[in-house]
Parts: sequence; structure tokens; C-alpha cells
Amino acid sequence: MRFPLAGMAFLLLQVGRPSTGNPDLERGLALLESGKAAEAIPHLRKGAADLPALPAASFYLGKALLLAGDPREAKETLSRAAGGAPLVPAVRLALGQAAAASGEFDEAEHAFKKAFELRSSDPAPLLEWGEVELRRAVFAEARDAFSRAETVAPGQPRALRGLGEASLGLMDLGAAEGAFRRALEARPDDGAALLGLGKTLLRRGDLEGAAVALFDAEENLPRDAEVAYQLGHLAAREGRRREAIGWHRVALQRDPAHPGALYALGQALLEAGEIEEGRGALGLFRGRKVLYDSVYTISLLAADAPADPELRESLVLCSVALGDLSRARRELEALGRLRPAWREDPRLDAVALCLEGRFEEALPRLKSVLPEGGTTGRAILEEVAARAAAGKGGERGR
Amino acid sequence: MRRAPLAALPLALGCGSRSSRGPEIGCLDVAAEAGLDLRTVCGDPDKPYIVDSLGTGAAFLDFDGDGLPDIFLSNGSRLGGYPRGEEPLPRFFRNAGNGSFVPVVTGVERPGWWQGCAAGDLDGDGDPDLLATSIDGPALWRNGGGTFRDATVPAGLSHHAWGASASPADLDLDGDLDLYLAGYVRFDRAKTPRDCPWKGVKGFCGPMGLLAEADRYFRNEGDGTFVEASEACGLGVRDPLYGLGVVASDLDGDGAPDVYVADDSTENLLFWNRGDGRFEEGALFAGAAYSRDGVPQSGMGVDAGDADGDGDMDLFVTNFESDHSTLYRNLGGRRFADVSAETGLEVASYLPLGWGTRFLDFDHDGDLDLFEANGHVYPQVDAVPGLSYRQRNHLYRNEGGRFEEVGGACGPAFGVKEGNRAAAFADMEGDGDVDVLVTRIDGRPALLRNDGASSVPWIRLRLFGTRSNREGIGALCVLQAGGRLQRLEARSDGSFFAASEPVPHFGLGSAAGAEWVEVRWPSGRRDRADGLAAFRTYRVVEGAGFFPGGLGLRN
Repeated sequence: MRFPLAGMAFLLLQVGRPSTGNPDLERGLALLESGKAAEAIPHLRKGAADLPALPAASFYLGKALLLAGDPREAKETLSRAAGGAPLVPAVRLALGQAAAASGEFDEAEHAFKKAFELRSSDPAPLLEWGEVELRRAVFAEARDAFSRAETVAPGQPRALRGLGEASLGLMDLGAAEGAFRRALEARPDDGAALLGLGKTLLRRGDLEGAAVALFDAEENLPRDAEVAYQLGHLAAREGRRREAIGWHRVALQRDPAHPGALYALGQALLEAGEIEEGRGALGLFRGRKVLYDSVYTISLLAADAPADPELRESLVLCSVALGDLSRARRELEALGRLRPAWREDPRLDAVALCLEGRFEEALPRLKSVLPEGGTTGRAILEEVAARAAAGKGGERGR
Repeated sequence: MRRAPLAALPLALGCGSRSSRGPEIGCLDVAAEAGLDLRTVCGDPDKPYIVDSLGTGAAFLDFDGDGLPDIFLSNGSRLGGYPRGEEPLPRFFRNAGNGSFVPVVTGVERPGWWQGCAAGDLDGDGDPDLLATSIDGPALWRNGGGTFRDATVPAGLSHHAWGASASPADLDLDGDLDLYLAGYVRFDRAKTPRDCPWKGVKGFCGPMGLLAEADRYFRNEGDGTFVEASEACGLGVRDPLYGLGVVASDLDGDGAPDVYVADDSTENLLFWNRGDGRFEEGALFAGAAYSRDGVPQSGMGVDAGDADGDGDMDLFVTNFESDHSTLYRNLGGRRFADVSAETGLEVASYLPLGWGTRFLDFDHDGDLDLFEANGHVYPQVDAVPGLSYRQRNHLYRNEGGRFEEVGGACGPAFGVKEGNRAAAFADMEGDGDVDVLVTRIDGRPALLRNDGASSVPWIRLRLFGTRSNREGIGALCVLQAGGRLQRLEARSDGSFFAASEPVPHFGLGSAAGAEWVEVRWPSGRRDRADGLAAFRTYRVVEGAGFFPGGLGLRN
């Protein structure tokens, strides 16, 4: 969540800290200011209920909800705040952030534009708007937003980096290279800008330049899977097959769920004549694709049928297999509301073991209950088996 | 038709100077003056459903056997249909030989939501038949001397499924043409949502989230009937994908055609032909299922050709907007590598949404260039900055292994933005260069006449199979000119929703002729000729050799 509490003082200044004497609101604000958003919510909720005409109460409740990871309720709450305080840019900015986090990109765009209209000296809404456009791949709009942010406050690495990413999305490689280089002038150790520059130069065929940028990125982002993955591609382009395999392995160590790295590793191994291992990697890759596709399709179905426990159960199983344990827990909670006796289900009993990282124990139980021959079931078993073999169930890096 | 002299076509001369970049070529859209005026339809112009979005197909086939390729244009419909008598109809246009095409009634004028086309002598009687796919199953029109009759049911091809592109190829090597039909979506309007978000606008939903239609392989039994043998022959997959483009090409050089399917939004499929009538799918392990990043792309059109001149067939797949079309280099050993970045295609093809395509030596310099028809699927994208529904076609010139988009400089025809879809290829005038027929969704087609290339040495081969299928589809033609080897397969498939003239067409560059040419027939037989002069079409009769002149099957 892009929402540093360091900005809180600024926001308080703009909205005005309520001095209502309402003890719940005061207590909630204090907790929020000390970074305890989840704890602040009950107090702020009560305060906002006591003072429905005070936009600031809704604003802080909305902020707390957003920080606590409930963007949908945050958006509703912040909409009420914006209704009561339509000219306060901070409220619009927060509303935009909540809308963006909810996937409501049109609403987010509108809110960010409004926030910028209200305070055109502040590039923050433009930066947020640019990020939204990057997320929905409208790169021309993203470039426009970051360009305007750059005009308002020249030389900001975030705006320049965004400009580079937007230009890369438009395959305008000259502009992308220029923007990333300017971002690096402002901050030479900006790992993300170095990575962006490396990717750009790789696409331009400037392998020497790409190598410099990517190795610098590796120094500054030593745990980044994407950097290692791009270094793998660079090595492959330069014909250094063994090195490519090595980098793709590193990328997978850093993020076991990096789909590109798993695919590239499999292909590189096959190229190197390591047929069995290469096919194994690609088999795992294919299974993972099946699971991602299943999650996508089931999510669509579940949106239409939120009370269907079978769909929730499938999501739990797929999420566990993909190592997305936080989603698995979330879906399991939802399932618990639909089917309180879920623990009696042997499949979910095995899931509970997975959530504790006990994949080796879970595997035989899952094998006994998942249907033989089903594509998704097979993919789940392969993933759990791989995690059991690895002896760890590490939460997927994201 | 007498062409406008090149001096009168200043806009058509920009593909590079002859001295440094090869021959000058230009391209004009002559559809209107040629009389190709059929406005086709494909559903609601706002495209609320996926079924409205794909457009219609086209074929070049010499249905009357006079040696000149005629044109077939399929036509669509709309949900709810049209009142009787007002339905859009598919049409044939006879090549009059003077640059004009004359609409003729041949028996194919039947209402339907027709899409892809496949052309070939399916019954081996000496004239090309026509298969059209539709959203409700295919129709086989058997050619009986220039008129067609519907033979779908007696041929055993009747089924109700949304078929996209189709490939006629002798997949079991028994001397007749089998059919592979790519299946797209099981469309059910009642179960299809509308207004799915895309980059801030609302477009139709799918194909992801909709049920996929299975591809189908129909084996030709040699007696006018076909038997569906997808599963029996290993040409089926457990979970159907959204098939759109298909090409049958001998990708591993073992003499048996393999099948490659471009799938929308999911991985592509590659069925290796074992040579015993059975196939095994192996796209993932071959490195030809996904992009370099392991991402499933949105395969639309496809073709196979020896792009790098190393003796084996590479693959090219057109994909969605803001995603590059993909060139898979054949590494040998049943392995491919996505070399889109290295060859310049990643950048050059990134912005448009590609459909019909083909490897062809557009400028006759001796290597294969690429044509790509472009157009977006959502009319609503006009509201998205940087995107447009109507797009211009691309011509990628092969410059020593790197591809450079030169269409914009090749004449006004490449500057026009339209909703382009299918692309079929033939030398429509028999003057020695390859012309392009492009359909446009809800519009009239373009007929892109290649001007300039015919002045550069070329050789065309019109094949007549005796043991192999009549048109020699699947034959590998190898030519050496100026010390350089070139390989082309005789095929009418590939591209998107299209059938092309199955006449291998070689550009010879500066060579005055070919040192030798060899045709390797699907039957295994070989015919070879030495010292062939340029600027000629040769008839090659299986087992009898090479003859000057390139008349049609009946001649």
C-alpha cells in the first residue's frame, strides 16, 4: 500500500484535526498517528457515527480502513467525506487511492484529477494517476500524467521513472531510456530506474549498456527476482547459456512464483540438453498456468455466486497450491462463514496443514481426496509435492 | 491491366533506394477499380459481443481453372439475423484477366455468419473446392466445373461449432487433403456478459471466461467423405483453447506436415506429425507455446516460412495490441526460440493488433518479408489515448535477418487505417509479383497490387500432383539462385480466415535465373530441373518434371 504515515501531518494540516472533544475520535486519531490503523478503526468508526456531519471523521476512518487493507469500505467512507468537504484535495487524493486499491480505476482517475485541480502545485495526485494508468496499461495517459508531474516538480525520480515505464509500455524506447537516465541523474542508486533502463537497453539490442544497468540494479536491489530474470535474458542473448540458467535459478530463489523465470529456466535447460530437468520445470510452469487460469475463472464465477462454498473451496485449494497463503486464509475465512463445519472436510484439513507450512503431511491427504486425472487437481498435487520436496512452504514473494 | 508507370506513383517508391535497400516496390489499393465492391458485415458495429469482432474471410482460388486466381469473400450476419432476402451473402468474383473482378453466382451464396476459408482440391477431381467456417459450423462447397454445391452433410463435415481458420493438408500422407479446423468459442449470448472493462473503456467480454470450442481434425477417406479423427490421431487436447489461426508445415523436416495453431489469449499448440497418422502435442517443450517471457499471447494469424534462410521453417504469429507479434526461430531438433526482440519485430509490431499474415518475398530480393493486417477489436478504444480502432497494415522487410517496417513508405495503400482482418495472397495478374487481398470488418476489402517487384527476377511453380494431392499442397520447393538456397512450401493455409494461392513464388534478387530447382512431393518423390530462366511460371507435374507455362489445374 503506497500510503506513508509520514504524510499524515500534512493531511491533518489540510483537513484540520477535529477538536470535538469526542473521545473515540481522539483515541482513534492517536492510534492512527502512531501507525496502528487496525486498532484505530473501531474508535474512528464510533467517532464518525457520533459525528456524521463532520467530514474529517469520515476522512480519518477512511484512511485507517485503507491502511488496514479494506479499500472498498475506505472508498465508501471517503466518498462521504468528499461529499462533506468537496474542496479538500487530501480527501480527493485519499479517495483516489482507495478507489485505485479497489480496482475502480475510472473513479480513481477522476478523484486524482480533482485533487490536482484543487492544488495544482502538488504533483502527488498526478503521480498516483500515472500509477493507475500504468496498472491498467493505458500508457499514453500514464505518460501524460507523469510528464505533468515532472513539470510541476522537475527532477523527481518517481515521475521520471514512471515516465520511463510508460514510454516502455508504448515501446518508445528512446524516450524510455532518456527518462530512466534522468531519474538516475537525480538518484544514481535508484534500483527500479536501473532495472527499467536495463530492460529498455535489452530491447534496443544494446547488450553492453543493458549489462551495466542490470548489474548496477543487482547491486542496489540484491533480492529482486526481476533483476535476476533480466540478467538471465541478457546472458541468453549473449549466448552464455549456463549463466542464463544460473540467473533464472536465482530469480526463482528470490521469488519461487516468478512465472517468467520458471519458463525461461525450463527452456534454457532444454537448450542445454538437460532434458529431464527442463521438462520438469516446464511441467511445473504449465501446472501453475492451469492454477492461475482456474483462479481467474473461479473468481469470475464467485463474483456472481458469492455464497457458493464449492467455489470458495476451489479458490482456497488453488491459492494454497500457488503459495498465495494470504489469499488462501482470506478465502478460508469466507468459506468458514458459509460452511462453519469446514474443518470436517478432509481437503480443507489438508489445506490447514499447508497453511502451517506442513506440506509433506498434507500431500498424502490431498492425494487421497483430489480426483484423479483432473487437470487442476493434478496441478495442485504437483505444486504441493514440489513444496514438500523443497521442505518449505514459504509464502510467495510478491 | 496496364499499370500506372512507376514514375507516376511517387508515393509508391519509398521502400528504399534500389542501390542500398533492394528493389523499389510500391503498393496500390485497386479494389474499387477492379470491381471488388462487396461490403461485408460482422455483427453490431459497436461490437457488444465477441462474435461481432472477428470479421470475415477471403480466398484466392482459381475456381474456373483458367489459370488466374479468382476471389471469394465470406460474409457475416448479426445476432437476431436479417429479414429473408436481405441477408448479406458471400460472393465469388471471377478474375477477368484484365485487372477486373466480376461478381458471379456460383452456388455459394447462402446466408450465414461465415468467417474463415480453406481452399483445395479436396475431392481430387481437378478443381479447388471451398470450405467456409462459420459461428455455427462449416460448409463444404464442392466445385463442379465452376459452380459449387453444398456437400457438407454427405462429406461428414456437418457440426455446429464456431470454427475460425482452417487448413487443408495431407496430414496422413495418403495423397488427399485432410482438414484441420481451429475452434474458437462456444458462444451463448444468454451466458455472455457485456461491457467488460479494458483500459478505461467498456468492450465485449471474452474470450477468457467463455467456454472454448474444440479444434477438429477431419481425415479425408478418399471417397468424398471425411471422418473426424481428432482424438484418435492425437490432434485433440484435454482442455480446448481459443483457436484462431492454423498452419500445416513440416517444421521438423521429416517430410510430414506438422500442425501449429495460434490460440487467442492462451498458449499456442504444436502437433508433431509422427508420420504414422498420429500426432503428439509439444508446443511448450518446443518453445513455441508462449512468448519469451512465458506469457500466453493472443494468437490471431500465423504463418510458417524460412525467415532466416537456414533451411527450416520458422513461425510467425500475430497477436494483440500492446504486445508484439512473435517470430519463433526454428533451432532444429524440434526446438524454437522467440527471437522477436533480436529481429526488431518486438518493437515494430508492438502497438497494432495483428491478424492476417504471410511470409512472402515482397521485393524479390531473395529473402522472406512479412505482411501483417492490423485493426483493433474494440471500437471503443478510439477513446483511449494512443490507441485506435482502425489501424494501418504493416510490411516488414527482411534486412539480413532483421525486420524493418516499411509499409508506410510503400505507397498510399499502407497508409490507410482500417479494421483489417483476413489477408490472402496471390499473383492476381500472373505478372510475377504477389498481391494481397485484405478484408476489413464491416467494410469493403482492399486489393493491394504489388507494383515494382515483377521487374526483379522471379520464378513461380504451379504444382500438379499425381501421386500426391493435385495441387501439391505440402510439397517443399527448394531453389538455388546466385548460390543461395531458398525453400518454400506449397500451401494455401496460414494467415487468418484466409486461403491463398498455393503457388510457391521465389524472388531471385540479382540472379538471372535459378541454378536448379527441386520439388519434394508429399509422396516422397522428387522432381528436379537445372538452369531455369527467370520471369516465368513453371508447371511441375509430379513424376514428369518441369514445363514452361502455368495454367490452372484443368489445363
